[in-house]
Amino acid sequence: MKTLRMIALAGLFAAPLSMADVVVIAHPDGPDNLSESDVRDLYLNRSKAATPFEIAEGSEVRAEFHEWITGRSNSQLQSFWAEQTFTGEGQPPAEVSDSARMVDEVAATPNSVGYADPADVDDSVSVILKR
Amino acid sequence: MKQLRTTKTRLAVCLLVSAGVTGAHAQEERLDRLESQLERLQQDMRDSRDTDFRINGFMSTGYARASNNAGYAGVTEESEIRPLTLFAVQGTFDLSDQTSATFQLLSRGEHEARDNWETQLEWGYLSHEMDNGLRVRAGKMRMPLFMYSDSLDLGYAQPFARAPSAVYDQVTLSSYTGLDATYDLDVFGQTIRTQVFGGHSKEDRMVGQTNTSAELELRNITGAVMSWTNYTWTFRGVAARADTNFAPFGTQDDDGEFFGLGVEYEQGNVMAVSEVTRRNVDGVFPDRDGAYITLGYRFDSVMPYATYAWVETQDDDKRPTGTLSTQNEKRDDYSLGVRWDAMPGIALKADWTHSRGFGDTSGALSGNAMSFASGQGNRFDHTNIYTLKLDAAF
Repeated sequence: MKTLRMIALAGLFAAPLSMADVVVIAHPDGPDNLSESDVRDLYLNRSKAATPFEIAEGSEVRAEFHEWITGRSNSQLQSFWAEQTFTGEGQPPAEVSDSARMVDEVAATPNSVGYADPADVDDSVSVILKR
Repeated sequence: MKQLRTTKTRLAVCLLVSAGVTGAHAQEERLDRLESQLERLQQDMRDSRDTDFRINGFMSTGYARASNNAGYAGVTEESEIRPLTLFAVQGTFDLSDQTSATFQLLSRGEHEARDNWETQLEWGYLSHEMDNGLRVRAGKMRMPLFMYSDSLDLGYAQPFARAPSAVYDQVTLSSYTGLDATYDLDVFGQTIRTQVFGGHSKEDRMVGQTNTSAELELRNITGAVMSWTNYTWTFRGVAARADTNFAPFGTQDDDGEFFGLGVEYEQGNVMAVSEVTRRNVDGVFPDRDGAYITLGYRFDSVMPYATYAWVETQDDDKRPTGTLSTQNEKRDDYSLGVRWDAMPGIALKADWTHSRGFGDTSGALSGNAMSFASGQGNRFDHTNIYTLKLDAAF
């Protein structure tokens, strides 16, 4: 895993314009056919159509995902979820520790979505959106 | 979870090592059994995350002082920490997938009409979401008059150190007991969240700038909110009315109306929020218009902001002289501040608010009340308020 990340990191330095890669994944039985805005709805508590998972703060993959899909920084997300929690609108998605765990979690949870480094993705999940 | 996985690996290793001693086939079966037991255990742990009861909390504390004793927002030259300090716990019980009960207990360091540190039930409601998406709530809830109504006490969810008083003091009763219903209307492919509410609200309030309090009561509150967002822009409109009662002003079941418009913009590092509100009450109870605009720019975890706010009462001729005339209010408030997200769940804020432009009113400031009521004009024609605030949510 570490080696993979080192390679990814090396790639980052080799091509400074490319970002850490991230893809949106889902449980193999669905959901599928989600647009970027469908995924944004799931991660910003506007839709309960599927269960989203987050990678814990500090992850490069998480930052890339949010830059791509929600356009929110970590502190904006913190404020947003504090407001949602205390107004009874909902709770933030459950967190996993890293991209590899995300793949396991989504594979094990029916009707869930997540995001991961493509290098961690295997056929236990389906990739539903690429940047 | 991590623990479990480590255990699983260890078990597997142990079993594999001892596999040479007994039959490898039997071991494999045992391993399979253990694996499936572990799977079940992991599934249980996942399920237990959706527990039936959740508890969260938030707190704020801070320090404020003013350049003079004009008394803007109760802040004077000798200000203290207590008024900005509050602590709250909130619990949610899930009774079913669609039904939940929520309570919020809040204790304030100081409040104009409550004992210090008196703990109050700020929220307490049952919520039920029907199959068609209609959500109905009953109990004690926040009156949804402003953009930040729901997070009025939750400083952590607000960009500024002080919610602009020009707008947020328009209706000082923040909660009501009653019913509301929320539904996402689909209009030309756009989702418009619509909320209707109705109920009753009552709490003691200070009488003008005196030291006595009296009961302010809103009966037969009815109102509606509509909002639309595409995550960059949010637009919100609200209209509400109530039979208003406040004995010191001779207000008895007088018609009170409230209208508000709000817009928020959030894109990349830029944020902007603005609200315009109007309060109209029959009789001498002041009709008051207020507005503000806040602009902020995020540098990573630090966001400087600037606010301009304006407030003006519209029926000053009904209160020409005497004590009632101190209710006439006109002010321009200029704020510069910064929010720093120091660590997850904790924000530190600093704010400087300069207030002036009282015109021929007292600015509704306590320091001006006595001289103004006796016809000698204002003691203070401006004031500066300095605020440091810490907001946390957990």
